[in-house]
Amino acid sequence: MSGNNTTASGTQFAAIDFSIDKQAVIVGAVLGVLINMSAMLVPVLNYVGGGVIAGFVAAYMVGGPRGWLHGVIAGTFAGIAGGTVVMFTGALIGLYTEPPTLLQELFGIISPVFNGAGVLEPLYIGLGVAAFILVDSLIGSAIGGLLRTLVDVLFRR
Amino acid sequence: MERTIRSLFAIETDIDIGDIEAILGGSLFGALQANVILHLGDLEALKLLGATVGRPTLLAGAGLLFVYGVVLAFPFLAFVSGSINAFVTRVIMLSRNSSLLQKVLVPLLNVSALGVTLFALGQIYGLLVGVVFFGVLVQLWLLFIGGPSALPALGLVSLFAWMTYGGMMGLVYGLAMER
Repeated sequence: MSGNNTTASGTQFAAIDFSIDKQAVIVGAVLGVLINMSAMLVPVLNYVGGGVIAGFVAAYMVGGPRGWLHGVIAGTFAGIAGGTVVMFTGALIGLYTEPPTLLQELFGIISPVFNGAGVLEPLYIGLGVAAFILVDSLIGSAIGGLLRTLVDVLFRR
Repeated sequence: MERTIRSLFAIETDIDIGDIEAILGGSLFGALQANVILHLGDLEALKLLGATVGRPTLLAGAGLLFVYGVVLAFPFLAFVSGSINAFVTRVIMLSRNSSLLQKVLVPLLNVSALGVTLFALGQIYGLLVGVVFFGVLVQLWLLFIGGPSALPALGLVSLFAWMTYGGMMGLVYGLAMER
Protein backbone atom coordinates (compact mmCIF):
# COMPACT_ATOMS: atom_id res chain seq x y z
CA MET A 1 0.00 0.00 0.00
CA SER A 2 1.05 3.59 -0.39
CA GLY A 3 2.48 5.18 2.68
CA ASN A 4 4.72 7.95 3.96
CA ASN A 5 7.88 8.02 6.05
CA THR A 6 8.66 11.04 8.22
CA THR A 7 12.38 11.84 8.26
CA ALA A 8 14.50 14.75 9.53
CA SER A 9 14.35 16.36 6.11
CA GLY A 10 10.57 16.14 5.86
CA THR A 11 8.00 13.69 4.59
CA GLN A 12 8.96 11.14 1.96
CA PHE A 13 6.18 9.43 0.12
CA ALA A 14 6.90 5.79 -0.59
CA ALA A 15 6.20 4.47 -4.06
CA ILE A 16 2.66 3.20 -4.55
CA ASP A 17 2.52 -0.57 -4.30
CA PHE A 18 1.21 -2.04 -7.54
CA SER A 19 2.17 -5.62 -6.73
CA ILE A 20 -0.40 -8.16 -7.83
CA ASP A 21 -1.94 -10.73 -5.51
CA LYS A 22 -2.28 -13.59 -7.98
CA GLN A 23 -4.54 -15.58 -5.65
CA ALA A 24 -7.10 -12.77 -5.47
CA VAL A 25 -7.13 -12.36 -9.25
CA ILE A 26 -7.49 -16.11 -9.85
CA VAL A 27 -10.26 -16.54 -7.25
CA GLY A 28 -12.17 -13.54 -8.64
CA ALA A 29 -11.82 -14.61 -12.28
CA VAL A 30 -12.76 -18.24 -11.63
CA LEU A 31 -15.80 -17.20 -9.60
CA GLY A 32 -16.82 -14.78 -12.35
CA VAL A 33 -16.65 -17.49 -14.99
CA LEU A 34 -18.49 -19.92 -12.70
CA ILE A 35 -21.30 -17.43 -12.10
CA ASN A 36 -21.58 -16.70 -15.82
CA MET A 37 -21.82 -20.39 -16.64
CA SER A 38 -24.25 -21.12 -13.80
CA ALA A 39 -26.45 -18.19 -14.81
CA MET A 40 -27.59 -20.16 -17.86
CA LEU A 41 -29.11 -22.71 -15.45
CA VAL A 42 -29.90 -20.48 -12.43
CA PRO A 43 -31.64 -17.37 -13.79
CA VAL A 44 -31.50 -15.46 -10.49
CA LEU A 45 -27.72 -15.07 -11.04
CA ASN A 46 -28.42 -12.85 -14.06
CA TYR A 47 -29.49 -10.15 -11.61
CA VAL A 48 -25.92 -9.95 -10.32
CA GLY A 49 -23.67 -11.11 -13.15
CA GLY A 50 -20.29 -12.81 -13.22
CA GLY A 51 -18.38 -9.59 -13.87
CA VAL A 52 -19.69 -7.94 -10.72
CA ILE A 53 -18.78 -10.99 -8.64
CA ALA A 54 -15.30 -11.30 -10.21
CA GLY A 55 -14.55 -7.64 -9.55
CA PHE A 56 -16.08 -7.62 -6.08
CA VAL A 57 -14.30 -10.73 -4.79
CA ALA A 58 -10.86 -9.81 -6.14
CA ALA A 59 -11.18 -6.22 -4.91
CA TYR A 60 -12.47 -7.27 -1.49
CA MET A 61 -9.64 -9.78 -1.01
CA VAL A 62 -7.07 -7.02 -1.51
CA GLY A 63 -8.90 -3.84 -0.50
CA GLY A 64 -8.53 -0.14 -1.31
CA PRO A 65 -7.44 1.32 -4.67
CA ARG A 66 -5.13 -1.64 -5.22
CA GLY A 67 -8.16 -3.87 -4.77
CA TRP A 68 -9.98 -1.96 -7.52
CA LEU A 69 -7.05 -2.70 -9.84
CA HIS A 70 -7.25 -6.39 -8.93
CA GLY A 71 -10.99 -6.39 -9.58
CA VAL A 72 -10.51 -4.96 -13.06
CA ILE A 73 -7.81 -7.50 -13.88
CA ALA A 74 -10.02 -10.35 -12.61
CA GLY A 75 -12.92 -8.95 -14.62
CA THR A 76 -10.74 -8.82 -17.74
CA PHE A 77 -9.82 -12.49 -17.38
CA ALA A 78 -13.42 -13.44 -16.59
CA GLY A 79 -14.54 -11.44 -19.63
CA ILE A 80 -12.05 -13.08 -21.98
CA ALA A 81 -12.98 -16.54 -20.66
CA GLY A 82 -16.72 -15.84 -20.67
CA GLY A 83 -16.66 -14.30 -24.15
CA THR A 84 -14.61 -17.16 -25.55
CA VAL A 85 -16.92 -19.78 -24.07
CA VAL A 86 -20.02 -18.01 -25.39
CA MET A 87 -18.43 -17.59 -28.81
CA PHE A 88 -17.40 -21.23 -29.19
CA THR A 89 -20.43 -22.87 -27.62
CA GLY A 90 -22.75 -20.62 -29.58
CA ALA A 91 -20.96 -21.30 -32.86
CA LEU A 92 -20.71 -25.04 -32.21
CA ILE A 93 -24.37 -25.58 -31.42
CA GLY A 94 -25.60 -23.10 -33.99
CA LEU A 95 -27.17 -20.63 -31.57
CA TYR A 96 -26.39 -17.63 -33.77
CA THR A 97 -28.81 -18.83 -36.35
CA GLU A 98 -31.60 -18.99 -33.75
CA PRO A 99 -33.69 -16.21 -32.17
CA PRO A 100 -31.56 -14.08 -29.84
CA THR A 101 -33.66 -14.81 -26.75
CA LEU A 102 -32.41 -18.41 -26.54
CA LEU A 103 -29.64 -17.57 -24.10
CA GLN A 104 -31.80 -15.26 -22.01
CA GLU A 105 -31.17 -11.62 -21.33
CA LEU A 106 -27.44 -11.60 -21.99
CA PHE A 107 -27.92 -12.53 -25.61
CA GLY A 108 -31.16 -10.64 -25.92
CA ILE A 109 -29.23 -7.42 -25.61
CA ILE A 110 -26.30 -8.19 -27.86
CA SER A 111 -27.37 -10.57 -30.52
CA PRO A 112 -29.73 -8.38 -32.61
CA VAL A 113 -27.01 -5.72 -32.98
CA PHE A 114 -24.71 -8.17 -34.72
CA ASN A 115 -27.33 -10.01 -36.72
CA GLY A 116 -26.22 -10.30 -40.31
CA ALA A 117 -22.50 -9.96 -39.55
CA GLY A 118 -21.89 -13.32 -41.22
CA VAL A 119 -19.02 -15.52 -40.11
CA LEU A 120 -17.69 -12.81 -37.81
CA GLU A 121 -20.90 -12.70 -35.78
CA PRO A 122 -19.67 -15.16 -33.11
CA LEU A 123 -16.48 -13.11 -32.68
CA TYR A 124 -18.44 -9.86 -32.26
CA ILE A 125 -20.79 -11.50 -29.78
CA GLY A 126 -17.85 -12.94 -27.84
CA LEU A 127 -16.22 -9.51 -27.68
CA GLY A 128 -19.54 -7.94 -26.70
CA VAL A 129 -20.02 -10.39 -23.85
CA ALA A 130 -16.42 -9.82 -22.71
CA ALA A 131 -16.99 -6.05 -22.73
CA PHE A 132 -20.18 -6.40 -20.68
CA ILE A 133 -18.39 -8.55 -18.11
CA LEU A 134 -15.51 -6.06 -17.92
CA VAL A 135 -17.88 -3.12 -17.37
CA ASP A 136 -19.68 -5.12 -14.68
CA SER A 137 -16.38 -5.82 -13.00
CA LEU A 138 -15.65 -2.07 -12.77
CA ILE A 139 -18.78 -1.68 -10.65
CA GLY A 140 -18.08 -4.81 -8.59
CA SER A 141 -14.48 -3.87 -7.89
CA ALA A 142 -15.41 -0.33 -6.85
CA ILE A 143 -17.95 -1.71 -4.35
CA GLY A 144 -15.59 -4.48 -3.16
CA GLY A 145 -12.62 -2.15 -2.63
CA LEU A 146 -14.73 0.42 -0.77
CA LEU A 147 -16.46 -2.19 1.39
CA ARG A 148 -13.15 -3.76 2.37
CA THR A 149 -11.75 -0.37 3.30
CA LEU A 150 -14.87 0.33 5.38
CA VAL A 151 -14.67 -3.05 7.12
CA ASP A 152 -10.96 -2.51 7.84
CA VAL A 153 -11.63 0.91 9.35
CA LEU A 154 -14.58 -0.26 11.46
CA PHE A 155 -13.54 -3.74 12.56
CA ARG A 156 -9.79 -4.17 12.11
CA ARG A 157 -7.28 -2.29 14.15
CA MET B 1 0.40 -40.31 14.16
CA GLU B 2 -1.89 -38.37 16.49
CA ARG B 3 0.75 -35.70 16.98
CA THR B 4 1.35 -35.55 13.22
CA ILE B 5 -2.31 -34.91 12.43
CA ARG B 6 -2.94 -32.59 15.37
CA SER B 7 0.07 -30.47 14.41
CA LEU B 8 -1.67 -29.66 11.11
CA PHE B 9 -4.52 -27.87 12.87
CA ALA B 10 -4.36 -24.36 14.24
CA ILE B 11 -7.83 -24.01 15.70
CA GLU B 12 -8.95 -20.74 17.24
CA THR B 13 -12.21 -20.52 19.13
CA ASP B 14 -12.63 -16.71 19.04
CA ILE B 15 -14.83 -15.40 16.24
CA ASP B 16 -13.54 -12.26 14.53
CA ILE B 17 -14.37 -10.35 11.34
CA GLY B 18 -12.17 -12.72 9.32
CA ASP B 19 -14.34 -15.67 10.40
CA ILE B 20 -17.50 -13.81 9.44
CA GLU B 21 -16.11 -12.85 6.02
CA ALA B 22 -15.02 -16.43 5.40
CA ILE B 23 -18.31 -17.99 6.47
CA LEU B 24 -20.33 -15.50 4.41
CA GLY B 25 -18.25 -16.25 1.31
CA GLY B 26 -18.43 -19.97 1.98
CA SER B 27 -22.18 -19.98 2.52
CA LEU B 28 -22.85 -18.06 -0.70
CA PHE B 29 -20.57 -20.40 -2.64
CA GLY B 30 -22.29 -23.42 -1.09
CA ALA B 31 -25.73 -22.00 -1.85
CA LEU B 32 -24.64 -21.47 -5.47
CA GLN B 33 -23.72 -25.16 -5.80
CA ALA B 34 -26.96 -26.23 -4.10
CA ASN B 35 -28.91 -23.98 -6.46
CA VAL B 36 -27.31 -25.60 -9.50
CA ILE B 37 -28.08 -29.10 -8.19
CA LEU B 38 -31.70 -28.23 -7.37
CA HIS B 39 -32.19 -26.58 -10.76
CA LEU B 40 -30.92 -29.78 -12.38
CA GLY B 41 -32.85 -32.29 -10.29
CA ASP B 42 -35.48 -30.94 -7.88
CA LEU B 43 -37.34 -27.84 -9.01
CA GLU B 44 -40.17 -28.60 -6.57
CA ALA B 45 -37.81 -28.08 -3.63
CA LEU B 46 -36.98 -24.61 -4.93
CA LYS B 47 -40.66 -23.78 -5.32
CA LEU B 48 -41.28 -24.93 -1.75
CA LEU B 49 -38.52 -22.62 -0.55
CA GLY B 50 -40.10 -19.75 -2.44
CA ALA B 51 -43.49 -20.62 -0.94
CA THR B 52 -42.15 -19.85 2.54
CA VAL B 53 -42.61 -16.17 1.67
CA GLY B 54 -45.74 -16.74 -0.38
CA ARG B 55 -44.03 -16.87 -3.79
CA PRO B 56 -43.75 -20.48 -5.01
CA THR B 57 -41.60 -19.64 -8.04
CA LEU B 58 -38.14 -20.79 -9.13
CA LEU B 59 -36.76 -17.26 -9.01
CA ALA B 60 -37.96 -16.63 -5.45
CA GLY B 61 -36.81 -20.08 -4.35
CA ALA B 62 -33.34 -19.62 -5.83
CA GLY B 63 -32.99 -16.20 -4.21
CA LEU B 64 -34.21 -17.48 -0.86
CA LEU B 65 -31.75 -20.36 -1.00
CA PHE B 66 -28.96 -17.77 -0.88
CA VAL B 67 -30.67 -15.96 2.01
CA TYR B 68 -31.27 -19.14 4.02
CA GLY B 69 -27.74 -20.26 3.15
CA VAL B 70 -26.26 -17.16 4.76
CA VAL B 71 -28.57 -17.33 7.80
CA LEU B 72 -27.79 -21.01 8.37
CA ALA B 73 -24.05 -20.34 8.11
CA PHE B 74 -23.87 -18.78 11.56
CA PRO B 75 -25.05 -21.87 13.48
CA PHE B 76 -22.34 -23.69 11.49
CA LEU B 77 -19.71 -21.55 13.21
CA ALA B 78 -21.06 -22.69 16.58
CA PHE B 79 -21.29 -26.27 15.29
CA VAL B 80 -17.65 -26.15 14.15
CA SER B 81 -16.29 -24.68 17.36
CA GLY B 82 -18.22 -27.25 19.39
CA SER B 83 -17.42 -30.36 17.41
CA ILE B 84 -14.14 -29.99 15.53
CA ASN B 85 -11.91 -31.27 18.35
CA ALA B 86 -14.10 -34.34 18.90
CA PHE B 87 -14.20 -34.89 15.14
CA VAL B 88 -10.40 -34.70 14.79
CA THR B 89 -10.00 -37.15 17.68
CA ARG B 90 -12.48 -39.51 16.03
CA VAL B 91 -10.61 -39.34 12.71
CA ILE B 92 -7.31 -40.05 14.48
CA MET B 93 -8.82 -43.07 16.25
CA LEU B 94 -10.16 -44.42 12.95
CA SER B 95 -6.89 -43.86 11.12
CA ARG B 96 -4.97 -45.75 13.84
CA ASN B 97 -6.83 -48.92 12.92
CA SER B 98 -6.50 -48.57 9.18
CA SER B 99 -3.25 -48.06 7.28
CA LEU B 100 -5.28 -47.45 4.11
CA LEU B 101 -7.12 -44.57 5.79
CA GLN B 102 -3.78 -43.17 6.92
CA LYS B 103 -2.44 -43.28 3.37
CA VAL B 104 -5.47 -41.37 2.10
CA LEU B 105 -5.90 -39.01 5.02
CA VAL B 106 -2.41 -37.70 5.70
CA PRO B 107 -1.71 -36.35 2.16
CA LEU B 108 -5.17 -34.73 2.11
CA LEU B 109 -4.62 -33.12 5.50
CA ASN B 110 -1.20 -31.92 4.36
CA VAL B 111 -2.84 -30.04 1.50
CA SER B 112 -5.37 -28.30 3.76
CA ALA B 113 -6.09 -29.76 7.18
CA LEU B 114 -8.88 -27.33 8.06
CA GLY B 115 -10.32 -27.36 4.56
CA VAL B 116 -10.61 -31.15 4.41
CA THR B 117 -11.91 -31.48 7.98
CA LEU B 118 -14.47 -28.70 7.65
CA PHE B 119 -15.56 -30.08 4.28
CA ALA B 120 -16.47 -33.34 6.02
CA LEU B 121 -18.04 -31.56 9.00
CA GLY B 122 -19.92 -29.28 6.63
CA GLN B 123 -21.46 -32.25 4.86
CA ILE B 124 -22.74 -33.58 8.18
CA TYR B 125 -24.11 -30.14 8.99
CA GLY B 126 -25.66 -29.89 5.52
CA LEU B 127 -27.39 -33.24 6.01
CA LEU B 128 -28.78 -31.97 9.34
CA VAL B 129 -29.99 -28.80 7.65
CA GLY B 130 -31.58 -30.80 4.85
CA VAL B 131 -33.46 -33.09 7.24
CA VAL B 132 -34.31 -30.75 10.12
CA PHE B 133 -34.59 -27.35 8.47
CA PHE B 134 -35.87 -28.10 4.97
CA GLY B 135 -37.40 -31.54 5.55
CA VAL B 136 -39.39 -30.65 8.65
CA LEU B 137 -39.31 -27.00 9.78
CA VAL B 138 -39.90 -25.43 6.36
CA GLN B 139 -42.71 -27.91 5.67
CA LEU B 140 -44.33 -27.24 9.04
CA TRP B 141 -44.16 -23.52 8.32
CA LEU B 142 -45.78 -24.11 4.92
CA LEU B 143 -48.56 -26.12 6.60
CA PHE B 144 -49.00 -23.29 9.11
CA ILE B 145 -49.39 -20.62 6.43
CA GLY B 146 -51.50 -22.89 4.22
CA GLY B 147 -48.97 -23.21 1.42
CA PRO B 148 -47.98 -26.25 -0.66
CA SER B 149 -46.25 -28.55 1.85
CA ALA B 150 -44.56 -31.96 1.42
CA LEU B 151 -43.95 -33.08 5.00
CA PRO B 152 -41.42 -34.69 5.35
CA ALA B 153 -39.51 -33.42 2.30
CA LEU B 154 -36.56 -35.83 2.25
CA GLY B 155 -35.85 -36.22 -1.46
CA LEU B 156 -32.39 -37.56 -2.27
CA VAL B 157 -31.55 -34.73 -4.66
CA SER B 158 -32.48 -32.06 -2.15
CA LEU B 159 -30.52 -33.80 0.63
CA PHE B 160 -27.53 -34.05 -1.72
CA ALA B 161 -27.91 -30.34 -2.51
CA TRP B 162 -27.94 -29.40 1.18
CA MET B 163 -24.93 -31.66 1.85
CA THR B 164 -23.09 -29.96 -1.00
CA TYR B 165 -24.03 -26.58 0.47
CA GLY B 166 -22.57 -27.59 3.84
CA GLY B 167 -19.49 -29.23 2.38
CA MET B 168 -18.61 -26.30 0.13
CA MET B 169 -19.24 -23.84 2.96
CA GLY B 170 -16.89 -25.80 5.21
CA LEU B 171 -14.24 -26.14 2.50
CA VAL B 172 -14.20 -22.43 1.65
CA TYR B 173 -14.27 -21.47 5.32
CA GLY B 174 -11.38 -23.80 6.11
CA LEU B 175 -9.30 -22.63 3.15
CA ALA B 176 -9.94 -18.98 4.03
CA MET B 177 -8.97 -19.58 7.65
CA GLU B 178 -5.70 -21.16 6.57
CA ARG B 179 -4.98 -18.26 4.21
